[in-house]
Amino acid sequence: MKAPDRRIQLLLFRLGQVRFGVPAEQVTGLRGFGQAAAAGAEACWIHGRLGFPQAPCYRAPTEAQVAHPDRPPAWVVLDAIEDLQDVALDAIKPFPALVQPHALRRGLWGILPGPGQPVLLVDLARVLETET
Amino acid sequence: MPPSAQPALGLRLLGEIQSSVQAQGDAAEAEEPVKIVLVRCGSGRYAFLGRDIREILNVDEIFWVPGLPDCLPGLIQVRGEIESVIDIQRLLGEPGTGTGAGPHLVIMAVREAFHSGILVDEVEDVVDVPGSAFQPALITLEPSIRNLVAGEIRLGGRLVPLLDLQQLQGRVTL
Repeated sequence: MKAPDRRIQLLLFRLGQVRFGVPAEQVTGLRGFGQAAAAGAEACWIHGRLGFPQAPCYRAPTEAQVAHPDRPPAWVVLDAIEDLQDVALDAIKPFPALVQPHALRRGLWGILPGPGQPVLLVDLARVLETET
Repeated sequence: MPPSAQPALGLRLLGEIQSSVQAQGDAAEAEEPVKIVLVRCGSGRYAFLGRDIREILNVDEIFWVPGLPDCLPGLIQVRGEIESVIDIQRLLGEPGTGTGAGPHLVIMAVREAFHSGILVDEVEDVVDVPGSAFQPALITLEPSIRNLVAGEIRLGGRLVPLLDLQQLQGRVTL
């Protein structure tokens, strides 16, 4: 008998022209843009930490609370949140060998191939540890 | 990598090619042809060993990934698999070809641990050349190219740099 697929829920979003996915279990809250500042906290813009050479145009920013195993949760700004997508782990590919060392340094750990534009899977807790 | 180390590295693949031919026996067999893929990238003309090139692809789009060096313009999807793409013009210090919507011409190169697409402007020809046409890279070859070649091939009175995939890999993953 075939073992059931191991699956993961991804929260899909965009930064500029790039599609990203983050494991939904890593995001513990979502709220409107600007609410972190109103509450005296600061939401982190992650495009620099991901390696964008300049800030992409944010069209529909949302603040997401990110759980971290060793630190208090932090808020980050995501753009154009699309959907929650349930995918089989088997569908996720590692980055090609030449790209992987660069990607891992930025918290990017896998790819969900298209159709169309692939989704880059990101560990937001790792991104929060990286320098801009 | 110090420049003094280059001749030994550059000769490695050349020696492999020549020894595989020379192992056949006498001088006549040393003329056994080796298949070469000739490409044009920017202002330069380069060669790859034919055995290292798996296919030539017309790619609709190269998907940019943040955080990669300029010589890695992004990823392509080939029959559901994700492959990297190297822009050798960037490695050679020339302006890159660019990413995004294509079409882009990509040759898929595979040799030992190296597995990647390479962005080219044109595949000029696939030719058989005798083993004797291979020679070490000239000391006068531009340093940015010299660090990436295994040697040169004499073709029609001109020398064409033979690019070494392992050298490319080393530069890209620095």
